Formats: sequence, C-alpha cells, structure tokens
Amino acid sequence: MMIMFSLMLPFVLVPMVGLAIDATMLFSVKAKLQAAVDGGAIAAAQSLNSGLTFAVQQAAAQKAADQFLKANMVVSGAITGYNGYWGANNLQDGYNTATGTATCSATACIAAAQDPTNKRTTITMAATVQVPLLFMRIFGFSSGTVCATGQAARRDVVLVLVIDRSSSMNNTINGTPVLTTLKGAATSFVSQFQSGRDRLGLVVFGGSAIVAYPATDWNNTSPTGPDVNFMTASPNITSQISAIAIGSNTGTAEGLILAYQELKAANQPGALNVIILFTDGQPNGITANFNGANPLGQGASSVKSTSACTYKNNSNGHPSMVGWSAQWGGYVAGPTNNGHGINALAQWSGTSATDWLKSENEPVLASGNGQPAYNCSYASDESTINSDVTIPTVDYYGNSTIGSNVSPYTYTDYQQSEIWSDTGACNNGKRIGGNPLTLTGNAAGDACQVGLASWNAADMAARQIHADTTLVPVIYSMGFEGNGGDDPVFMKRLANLNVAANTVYNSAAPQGMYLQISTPDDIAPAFQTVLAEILRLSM
Amino acid sequence: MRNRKPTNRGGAVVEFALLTPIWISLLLGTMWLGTAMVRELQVQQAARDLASMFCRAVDFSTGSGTSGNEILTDITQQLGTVTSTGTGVVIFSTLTYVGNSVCALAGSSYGTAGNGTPSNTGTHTSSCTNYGKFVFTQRYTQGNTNLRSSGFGSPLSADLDSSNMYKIDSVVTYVTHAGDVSTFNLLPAPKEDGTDGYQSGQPIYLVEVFFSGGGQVGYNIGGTYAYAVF
Repeated sequence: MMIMFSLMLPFVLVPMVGLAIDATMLFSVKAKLQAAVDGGAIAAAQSLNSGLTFAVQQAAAQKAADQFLKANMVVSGAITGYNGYWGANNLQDGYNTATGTATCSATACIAAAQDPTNKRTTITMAATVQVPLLFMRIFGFSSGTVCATGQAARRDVVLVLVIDRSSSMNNTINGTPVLTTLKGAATSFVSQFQSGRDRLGLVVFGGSAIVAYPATDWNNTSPTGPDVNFMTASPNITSQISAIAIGSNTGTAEGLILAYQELKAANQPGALNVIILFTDGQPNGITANFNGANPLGQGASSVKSTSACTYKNNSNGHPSMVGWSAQWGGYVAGPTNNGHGINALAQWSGTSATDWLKSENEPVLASGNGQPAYNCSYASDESTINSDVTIPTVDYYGNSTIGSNVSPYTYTDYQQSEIWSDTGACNNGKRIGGNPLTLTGNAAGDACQVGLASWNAADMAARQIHADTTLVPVIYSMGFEGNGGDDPVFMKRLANLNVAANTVYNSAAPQGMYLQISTPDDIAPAFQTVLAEILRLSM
Repeated sequence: MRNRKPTNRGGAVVEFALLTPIWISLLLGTMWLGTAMVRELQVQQAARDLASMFCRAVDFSTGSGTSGNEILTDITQQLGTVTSTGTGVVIFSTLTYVGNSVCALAGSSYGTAGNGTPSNTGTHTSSCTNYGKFVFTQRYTQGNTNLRSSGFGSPLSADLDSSNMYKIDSVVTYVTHAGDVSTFNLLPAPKEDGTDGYQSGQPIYLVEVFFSGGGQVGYNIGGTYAYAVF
C-alpha cells in the first residue's frame, strides 16, 4: 500500500490536486481579466470623443482601453501598493506605449471599428496574462496563459441643443451676462462629441425659434437634420453658438418642435436621439398661423370679425399671417418696437440663420421688416392685445394650446406648477387661473392667457416628442433660475420624469433629466452632468 | 499447537492508519482551498457585473423594492446578504481627475481651459487645491458598512447629496475640499491634451464588493474582496 501510495503521489494525487488548485486559480485570474477587459472596452468607448478624425479617436480609445485594463488587472510591480493578482505577469493587449499604437495578434488586441449600419462604433478587445502555476510546474508547466475577450459599443448620438436667448438671459450676474456663461459652457459641451460619427444640431429660440446649425434659411422649410460635420463646417456649431445675440421672449414650443423636426430629418432610429433644452424662464411665446383655418372649431381664423385687418383668413389666395405672439413686452432696448402683439415669422429681411442670431430683434410684423401689417393693429399693450385676434387653439405646429385636442388640461395638470395662480392674478409671472378653456375668450387680460397657451403648447410639443417610438428621443431640461425662475414641475414634464408631480408621465418613453441651475457657476457643471449621462446611455 | 504462519495483514491496517490523515488532509485541503477560490471568483464576477451596470446608469442607491436593489440582490445571492446587518457590502463610487478643465468648470476663479476642453494650455489658480488629484464625485454603499470600508478612501459625507444619488453637486466642492480626495492611483494622471486616453473630468466608475466568511485559514481569512474600475 505504501508502495502504491508512493506511486500514486507523483502520477495521480499531485496532478489531481494540482489541477484542482491551479485550474481554479486560472479561472479566478480569468474572471479578473474578463472584468479588466470589459472595463477597458467601455472606457475606450467613452474616449471616442477625442479629436476630429477617426484615427485620432481610435488612438485615444486604444490608450484608454490599455489604461483601464491595467487598472483592473494589476500585474506584479506595476502600481505602488498592489501585488500582482496571483502573481500574474506579462499582461498583453497589443498596445505599444512607446508608439501609441495597438498591433493585434491572435490573442491581444484593441480595435475600434465604425459600424454605420447599426449606427455605432464598436471596440473589440482581447488580452492575455501569464500566471505562475503552483503544482503543475512539477511537470514542467511553470505558467499558464489566460485569455479574455470583450466588446463594447458606443451608439452614435443625434443631439439637438435648444438654447433660450430671451431678454432675461442678458441679466448680468457676477459681472458676466448669463448668456455669455452659457455660450462658453455650450461650446465646451459640443466639443465633447465624436466628430464624424455623432450628429449635432442647434436650435435657438426667443419669441420664435430658428435652426441655427446646420445653418438653414430662417424659416426651416426643409430641415436637413443635425450632421456629423458640426465642428468643421462653416459656419459650424461653435461659431453659431458664439453668434447668438439676446432676443426677446420665450417661445419654448417652437424651439422643441424645430429640434424634433431636425431629429426626424436626421432619421437615425438606432442612434441615441437627444434634445437638450436650456431655458431661464417659463414659456410666454407662441407661434401660430393667425388667419389660418383653425381645426378646433374656433371658426376659420382667430382674427376677429371686428378687426380692421385686411385678410381675416388666408383662403382665396390671401396671405397667411404666420407669426408669434408673446405675453410680455419685447426687447425694449432695441431700435424697433417688437413689443406685444404678433410678430412676423415670415419674410424676415435677413436671409440666413446667422443674420437672425446676430440680430437682437426678431422680425416684427408691422415694423417694416418686410412683412406688411395689412391694417392689423398689432402694437398694443397687454390689456388690449386682443383687439384684433383671439388666441388660436393650436399653434403653427399643431400643438394644442388648451392641453389636448380631445381633452383640455385640468386643474391637476397645473396645480403643482408655477404657472398656476390661485388668485387668478395676471402678474409676477403667474398666468391667470381658471379654466384654460377661457383662452378662447376675448376679455381684457387675455394677454396673460398667451402665457398659458404657450405653456400648453410647449407641454404638448414634449408629449408629441415622447410619443415617438421609432426615434425614442430623450429630453434633458436645464432650468436656470433667472428672470422669475424656471418652473420645476413643467421642466420635469418636458423631461418625462417619473415623479408624482408629472401627471403626463409616459412610461413607454425614456426618462430624461432635469437640472435646476441656481447660479451661473453651475451652468458648465450641469452641462458636464448631462454629457456624462448621455455617454452612459450611448453605451 | 499449530504453528501459525506470520502474515502482513496487520501491516496494511497500520499503513492505512498512517496514510489516512495525509489522504484526508489532502482531500479536505483541496476542497477548502477550492471553495475559497471559487468564492473569490464569484465575488470578482459580482464586481464586474455591478460595475458594468453602474457605468451604464443603473441606480443601486435606493433601498429595497427598487429595480436596482433587486438586481443587486440577485447578483449576490450565492455570496450572502447585502443588508445593513448582512454578510456583504458593496461600495459604489464615481471619481474624476482634477485637471485644468475641471478647475475651469468650477469657475473662472479656479482656472481657465482653452475652449473648455482638457488642454495643457489652460491654467489653474491656487484656489483649485485638488488640482492633480483623483477626487470622489459620488459615493454610496449598500449592505453592512461595518464589514469593510473602501480601499480608496471616502469623500466627506456632508458633501454628498442624498436626494441626487449621493453625488457631490458642486464642482467647487470637490476641487477644493481636501476630504474628497481619493487614494485611487490605478490610472496614470492624464496629460490633458485630450487624446491621452483617460481625460480629466471623465468619470471613473468604481465598484468594490466584499463578503465575509468563506475564506480559509491563511487565505482570505475574514472574507473576500474584489473591485472593478470601468
């Protein structure tokens, strides 16, 4: 028996125990290496935003992959305070630190590949490490090689940045106008995307809105959608951001709808479609075809029969009175009065989006900016804004101004929102209370109802966007507490957050994020937060 | 009287008695070490799975009944219980490197960076006291916090916003508070030219998993620990 045992020891027992221990050890190292490869691949996908060309992006991604691989799979002597995991050594991923390139062998590789069909960039990674064996070395196997492969994909991003240039954005805080701070943060933000793969666009709104990048004719009749040349085109997205001048009111609905039209024009269903809204106030502007046919039973147009306007409807070849109206006064410092009333959307004397951006005045219907007033008296104060028109029940883009085409908003929709005023007072930024249906009334004070209509139109615009199950757009809302503050509940509704205050939460649509920004110093970090979330979601 | 022929049957019993302890210790030793190593493998797998979800915005910060909590429970089911009195603890952290771009993010009095991107042309002022360090921007822990603390340090608990996934809301806070600096040194400090792999300001998602028990004398005594950096 002793002899038998002696014979078994080298040939049976040691190999058996050796297999058990060494194999388990190799499996442990494999698990560690697998985590390291996964971490490396994901970090690489995150680093794809560096540089303008794919070659540069790939180089940055390969380096990040190598760094994160080594952070997870620490080999002997590599980092102070860490021992090699089970004495693991000779970690190979094909990356050459000296040349900054990765050469792929059969088992060691970091490669980035563009996949236009599936609208993503994939990172494929393979790494090997050697582990000294404890028992099997008796039979000449001094070390074992462990291999792991991993893959990560970064979805392309289609993003439209929607920026508020309302006059309150000109407020100077700590010596700098808010808009200036915002422009810096937005510029930094857009430069973090992958040029050549991601598609970025820019929409700017005051009382009305315009697609500023890709630069179009101001009326945006044929949207082209955000494109991949956002950093290299002329004008590009950063030059357009820097061109933004202060405008007038807050026509949030048109801003959102133009952004959505851009996403639809780009039509990238596999990509991550994102709208980022930055605003400093509550909506108070609405764009409509004032003498157009009104589908909600308000008659042929919202121009009153008592009005002196020449064309009370746009039938029989009469010109359309497309324009925007706002609750509050316009930009008083401007050379022309673009105050209350209807401002022209059509026939702006400038021709390009850049002209529009640089002008502090949005076109005014009656001021000789190209569009004749046709005897309509639009320059009026808030109490007599309705001398010519009532508020249309849908805006130019079909968004209901009373909440819904079938069921108007109810008290519940407004009660937690800052739009609500129990006193019914039309002041201090509060809209008048009561049944929103009174929007169609003609009473003095309806100017306040323009604000309510604007709120409704913007809310409906967001709901329309969230109902898109093909592009599945995500809306991030950023509210700066500037002039009167933003409206947190409203912003949460726009972002489709699943919170009690949001009575219209759509569980089929993705939740965005709402960032309330209290000081200008928080603007850049807020953009950084959104960026981190977008890059997370794009993987 | 019969003369019995001597046999060596007794010798076999003696040999068996001599060898049994060796046999059994070899057998049990292999099993013990094996199970401890398998446990280590499982803890490592849990760290990997949780990190890959954490970096994709799965929220593990909320308590029982939430989807994040259920995932956490499912993943760690084989290992122990992740409750305040349980046998396991999982520590989630987000870190970032404070370079010029992060100082600039905090405001003009902390630094400026060319075009806001990581850039070695930017400068930071002396106000940006955490310049050149890895700092925490988020931290939350699930499970029995008495078992083990993070191997990378901890941020000031007063800086963490419990209503916002325990993030540090203000950049000014983490570029100035010395208490938010981490001992993390697994990644090299980035050069800030924007193409050097990991960039300053980019989040690092770190998950640490620890489960007590399952270790053997001389090996993983007290419990098993693993981390994953994504």
